[in-house]
Amino acid sequence: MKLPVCCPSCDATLTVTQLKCDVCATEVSGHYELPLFLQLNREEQEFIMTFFLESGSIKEMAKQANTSYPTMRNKMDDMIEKIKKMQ
Amino acid sequence: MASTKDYFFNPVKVMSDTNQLVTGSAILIISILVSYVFCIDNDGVYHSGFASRALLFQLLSNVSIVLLPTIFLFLGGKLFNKGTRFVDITNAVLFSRIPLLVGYVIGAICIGPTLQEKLRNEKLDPFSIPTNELMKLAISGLLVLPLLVYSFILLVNGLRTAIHSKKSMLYAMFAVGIIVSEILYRYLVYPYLN
Repeated sequence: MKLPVCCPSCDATLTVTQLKCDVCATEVSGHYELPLFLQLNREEQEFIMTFFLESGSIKEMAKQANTSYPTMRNKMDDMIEKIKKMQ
Repeated sequence: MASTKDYFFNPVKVMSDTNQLVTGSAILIISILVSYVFCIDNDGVYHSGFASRALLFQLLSNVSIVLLPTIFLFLGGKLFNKGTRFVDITNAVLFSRIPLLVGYVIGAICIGPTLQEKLRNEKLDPFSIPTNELMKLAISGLLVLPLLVYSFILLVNGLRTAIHSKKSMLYAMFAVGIIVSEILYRYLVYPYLN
């Protein structure tokens, strides 16, 4: 099941207001921002995970995605810019 | 997912590093051989005439017309993005040579050995060229023009991928890089090779 990060009505970023323990049914309420990683869309999260699992090799990622190294590096640069703006 | 359009207009974006290396090397070798066989005399980075030249000359001139723009575009690219790789700029320049190669062959075939000889003659009287040969000259020019445009499209698209800068100054850098390499080749490299 995909975790929604944006409001389906107005596209604003969603926040977490309740967390529940499946073991003892403890509920925690509050107002928590989603972690930075979860604020990214699914495709971006998968990109970062793939980068991590390929030991940080853009070359390997390009091979896996069947695209060129500069294209993959450019995508990485764009994501870095986006995350810097989000911080 | 790479589209056919990307393969035609920006192969640097979609081809793997290995494929780019193999294709780029093949382009360079083919351009040397084509220049030798069809007596293409590269007297400029984007200009050529017809003259019978030794294979060594063709090797050096074809390498120079690739290396010079690559060096200047790479140096310019570094100003925009420190991550610019020399190999990516080289590939962009090499791929942009493909339409030019086709243009050279069209020019050599359309113009023909007789007209080539007439063109080589410095004291040529334009009214001495037969009408049908003038038409061939005009047609080859019309065919070569879109190929030249396509060559620039390939180069600009390749640079945009290799340098990854959204600044419009990139196009100014591209123009300066090409002009400087053309001037250097024509006035320093070509006379030396001659």
